[in-house]
This record gives sequence, C-alpha cells and structure tokens, in this order.
Amino acid sequence: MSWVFKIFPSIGVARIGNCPDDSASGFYVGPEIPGSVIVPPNGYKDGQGRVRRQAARFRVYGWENGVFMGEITSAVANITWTVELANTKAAFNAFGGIGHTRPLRNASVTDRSALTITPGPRTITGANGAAFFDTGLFMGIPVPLGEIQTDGSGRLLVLGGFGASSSPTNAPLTTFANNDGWHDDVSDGPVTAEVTLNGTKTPVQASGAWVICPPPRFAPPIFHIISLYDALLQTAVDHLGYKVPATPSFTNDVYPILKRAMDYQWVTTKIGNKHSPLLDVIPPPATADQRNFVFQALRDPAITPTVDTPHLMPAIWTDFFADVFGIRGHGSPATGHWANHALTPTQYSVMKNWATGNFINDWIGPPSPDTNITPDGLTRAALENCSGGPFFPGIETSFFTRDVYSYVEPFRLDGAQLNAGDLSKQQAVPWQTDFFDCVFQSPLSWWPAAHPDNVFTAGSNNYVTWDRGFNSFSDMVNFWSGLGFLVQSGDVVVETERTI
Amino acid sequence: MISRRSALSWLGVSAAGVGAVNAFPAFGKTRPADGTRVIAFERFCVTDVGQVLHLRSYIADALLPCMDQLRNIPRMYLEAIVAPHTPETLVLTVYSSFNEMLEVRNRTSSDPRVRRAWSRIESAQVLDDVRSHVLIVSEESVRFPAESAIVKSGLFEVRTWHAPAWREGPPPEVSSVLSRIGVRPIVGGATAAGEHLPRFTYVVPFDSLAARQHAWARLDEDAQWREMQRESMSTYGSGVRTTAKAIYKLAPYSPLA
Repeated sequence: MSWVFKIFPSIGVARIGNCPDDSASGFYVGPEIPGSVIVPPNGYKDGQGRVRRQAARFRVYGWENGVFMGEITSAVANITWTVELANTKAAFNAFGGIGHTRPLRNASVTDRSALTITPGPRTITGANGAAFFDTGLFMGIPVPLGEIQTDGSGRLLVLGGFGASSSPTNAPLTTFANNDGWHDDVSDGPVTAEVTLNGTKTPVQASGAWVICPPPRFAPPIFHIISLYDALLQTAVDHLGYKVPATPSFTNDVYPILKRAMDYQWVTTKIGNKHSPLLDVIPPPATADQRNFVFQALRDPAITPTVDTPHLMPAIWTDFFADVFGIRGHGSPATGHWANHALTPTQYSVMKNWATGNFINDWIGPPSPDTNITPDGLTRAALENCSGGPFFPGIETSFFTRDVYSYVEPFRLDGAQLNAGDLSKQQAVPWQTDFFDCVFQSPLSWWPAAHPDNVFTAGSNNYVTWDRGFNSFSDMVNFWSGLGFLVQSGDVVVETERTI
Repeated sequence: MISRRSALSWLGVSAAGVGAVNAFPAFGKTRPADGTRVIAFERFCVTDVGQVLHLRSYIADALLPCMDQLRNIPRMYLEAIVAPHTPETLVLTVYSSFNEMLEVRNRTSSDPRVRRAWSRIESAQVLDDVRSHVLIVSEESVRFPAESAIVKSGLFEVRTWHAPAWREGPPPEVSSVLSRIGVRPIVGGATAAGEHLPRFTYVVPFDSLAARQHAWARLDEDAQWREMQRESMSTYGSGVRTTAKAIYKLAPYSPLA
C-alpha cells in the first residue's frame, strides 16, 4: 500500500495588509475556485480603514496506489506543516530587466545578512495551531513577515506581512525598483507537510508547495489578460511537455480572454468602450470575418519583444521595457512606441484556432464558477489572480518564476533548488515605488488589473484616477491602504472602501 | 449545483437502470430467483463544510423519521473522511426489490416534512450534487444489519474494482482471499452499466485506518491473489484494478451508530 501526498495549491498567494487582526474575522481566505471572486463579508478593510490580509489556505491531498483519494485532514492523519518566509530583496541584485544583470542592491553594505529578513522556518502540528514569523531583522530593525495557523481540520493558513516599508537609514526613495536602505515586508517561501495516517507510524513527506505574500489585490473582479496561471501553463508546455487540447473550448478557453479584455474598461479609460466589438462575437460562432477581425488585432508572440506593433493588443508594456527605453527612474518614456506584451503562445493559439473556426461551440452562457474545491482548481484560482506579465519586474513575482526556476510538475516548483525569498527577491524594494509608477505610460498600460489606472465611483459615469491624490513614492508608502477596492455592483464595477 | 436528473432520481421520479451478479460466490454460487436485494447508494455532495449541519438536519430530522415510519429498511448513513469530494454523506439502503425502492422513495418524497426540508436544502444551495448508484445483489451478499457487530467499528471503505476476468462474477477464490486478509465486505455487487465493466463495488468495515492499510497490504502479497492477477493479465491484459475508493465513518445519527 503506497500513499502519495501533495500540497495544494502548489503555489499559494497570501496578500499583505495592515489590519493586524489574525482572528477568523480579521482576515479572509483567498480564492479557492477558479473564476470566483472573494468579497469578505465584513469588507476588505476593518473599521479603522486598514486593509485585511488575504490568507492562503493549503490542503493535503492523497493518492493511494495511484488512485485519487481526496483531501487528507486531521480526521484521518497527523499533519505537520513547516513554512519558511523570507524577504531577501535588499541583498539581491538591482533590477534591470530581462537579460540585464546589475550590481547588488546596497552594494556598500558588507554584512549582507543584515539585509535579509529571514526569521527561519516555523512548524505546526495538528489543528488550531499558530506560529509567527516575528524574529526577522533588517539592519537590526524587527520586520514581522506574518504568521501561520492551522484550522480545525488541520489545513494550513498563511498570513503575510503588514505593508510596513521603511528605511532605518532614512534613505530617500529615488527609483521605481531599487531603493537602497529600504525594506518592505512582502515575502515568499516553501511550504512542506509531513503526513502520518492515523494508526501508522511512518510519516510520509508530501510533495511541497510555495507561498508568495505579495501586495493586496485591489481589483478582485478584474482578471489579468495574461495571468500567472497562463504564464506558468506556458512554462509547463514549453519545458514539461504539458499538452493542451488541440481544439479549444469557446466557453473555457476563448471567452475568458475576451471577457478579460472587455473588463479592462473598468480599470483604464484607454479601453473605455473600444472593446465593444468583442460583444459581436458572443455568442459563438459569429462570422469568420468577425472572429478574424478580433484575432488580427492581437500581437503575435513570435514577434521580437522590442519590435513595435502599433495598435495591436494587449495594450500593455513588454517585459523588455529596458531594451526599448533603457532603464530609468520615475518618469515617462518617450511616446510613440508600441512595444507591447503579447498573449502567451498557448493563448494566441487558442485565439487563432477560434478565428479559423476550429473550436468547440459549447456556449450556454457565461460560465459560473464551479462549486467544488479541487486540487488543480486551488492552484489555478491562486495563480489566475496574479499578473503573468509584464514582468518589469512584476507585482507578485518575477520572470524568474516563469523562465528560470525548475518545476517538478506543472505549476509545482522544485523546492530543492530554491531558497525562501527567491520568488520575491527581484521585485521592487519597496513594492510601493513600483506600484506607484506602474500607471498608464503613454501609449500603453502596465498592469491595470493590479493597479487600476482609472475607475468609476458608485453612481458616476465618469472615470476618476484610481490613485488620485498620490503624488510621490512616499505617498504610496504612507497611504497605500487608503486606496479603494473595486467590486462588482450589478453590471458595473465600482470603487469602494476608499479611505483617503 | 444539483443536477435536475440527480434530484429527480433521488426523489423517486426515476431510477438508475442497473443489474448485477453475485459478488460473493462463496455464499451462493447461483443467484436465487427471489433472493436478490437492491442496494441504493446515494451520495450527497455538500458545497462546503459550513453546510454539513443543514444536511444532517435534513436527514436526521426529516428523512430518517419518515423512513422509520414506513417499514424496517436496513440502512446506514456514512460521512466521508477521505473522498474525492468532501463533505459528502453516503446513504446506503437495502431494499427487497426495485418496487420497494420506488415505493419508499415515492412515499418519502411526498411526505410534507421531507418536502419542506428538501426545499430548504435546495434554497440554501447546500448540495453540489446528488449521485445515485444502484446495485442488485444476492441476499447473501448483504451482511448488515445481521452482522451489525462488525459494522459498529464505524469506519468503512467503499471500493470499486474493474475486473476484466470476472465476467461471470468473481471466482469463488475471491471470498477466501478476502477473508484471509481480513476483508469482510458487508455489501458487494456488480454494476451492469457504465464504464470499466465488469465493475464491482464493495463496502468494507475496518476497525481502524491501520487495520485497513494492513489488510490491503496483505492482499498485494497473497499468493493466490497474485496468481489470479497474473492469469487475468495474460488473458485480458489487465488485472483487477481499483477505479475508485473512499473512506467513511458512521454518521452519529445513523441507525447502526
């Protein structure tokens, strides 16, 4: 009798927040079902306007002799969880874009360990436990990175940091990505579990997972046109031989791309109603001319990233921004270039097949999220809420995760080859500077599903700037939690809970 | 969401068409003409753990009292502890015939208290799905509640085997092999429709998870079983293969608890 255990999601996402309440009503669990949007019953913020943390919940699933058995909980096993979180941004190389290795951040600091926030691993066994990542230091200053809990069934909950960024040396904030003397409290690290079935004595190590603790997701109903799920699916196709269906489903493959494009109207005035022609191809099949009109508007991912493709979609910047404009600090690049980020080859292939009529017309209306929690669904739900590009350097993680790191199976990193902090070390330090900068830069946007450019307030038909009133990196460091969250309200998406 | 077909099936408007052969030939090599039983498996897949109490209330406070009033029908209520979908409650009922099953279902579904409770379940979206599965087995293949002592261990496995060599039912040696390794099914039968045929479903009580592990490990080492597997492989290209399994515990409100 042979059991195999695996942790899901294989990459989980726990988002930081400055609400310190770690009781069940003080935070909320992130999406666990693809397509679902979590709206906390008591709001994204607490009564004091502080952003609640989004916990990542991890579960163990079991296979016995190759047969899927289901979730393993404390009802049938003793589960020992170990998690390590770290923030090593300040000790890593300055970010310079894909293919550009730059000097170390804080190069003048000889004690490199003083730059890494590494509280070490924490372990919990059984149900209703807790442990805190509260011993990490940055230049001698304590920087808590969050905590882990187990629920009544022995599942793991990871809660990230508190959005606290500072400079013990009072260094100025000068660039979008590399600010020496600064730290933040995002983090990432491995999640492992040792499973001992009741009545047995030999623990079995579960296949490990990873957790990322990035900034909040302020626009939960708006999905990235290229999500991290799409990006890592492409990694699986390219490097692990993962096969996607030769004939795409309209409902499951084509429609989500169309819907994401249309939904960008809620987060950038540059889209506005320009995507209304997409309505003409729903419901399918539409005409060949209509489908081809949409497809011809897409950039081919085979085109060299730095080549301009004026007016093709998606209208978001390329990963290779540094090669187009040169690395620079805060400020707008020269206008007139259209070096945009293409869909993944798999997404592009889906659209190409659809355009030529090679698709399954399974349309019965917009799909509702499933109600079942499944292992693969947990991973997809976590990753589809993250940006899959552009990675300049990105908001949740970087191109390292897509292009460099090894995977033992689709979406499951090879933890043996990684250290805690590796998925966030390339990100901007502090994150608020990149978040401030990644607004519309003519003629393209960055990631409006992460940082909306323009939004609607309730009852208004006019766009307003989402981060109105924010004029500097420091404003974002100090006041980020005052930004509003976007919620679906009937047929529209509006800003809510703005507290500044 | 509950599919309309599933819900109607449960309410007795339709029934899954299946047939079976004797899964325990050692207890009766020929199926008696009137010695069969209809075993209904009803899997109630609950949307999330917060809804389990609603389903428990429906079963314990409405369905169970209603069935108690009808006649003495052997049944068990099991809650999944390891299963592809959790939370899940499995209702296992033994009927003397299809007609009895349909009659009981019609009567329970027309009971006002059951109907009200079911409406609450539907309106509260308690269930993802209701999956029905019916076996027809020999009378001797059903060992509960007659052997309720072994049932009271409270831990059960429902296991389905695809056995290409068992076209006429499991060979007689199967019972002795299972008995030897400590597996004493309380229900077993073959499904006559669907994929992976011939397909056999067993409900097996165990004293503990460790006892379960131990028993199945012994099966893999049993010389007679290995020989049966080898013969099946050589003739059919495949041995007995487990296609599904799940582990349950007796629900606190179950008649045999």
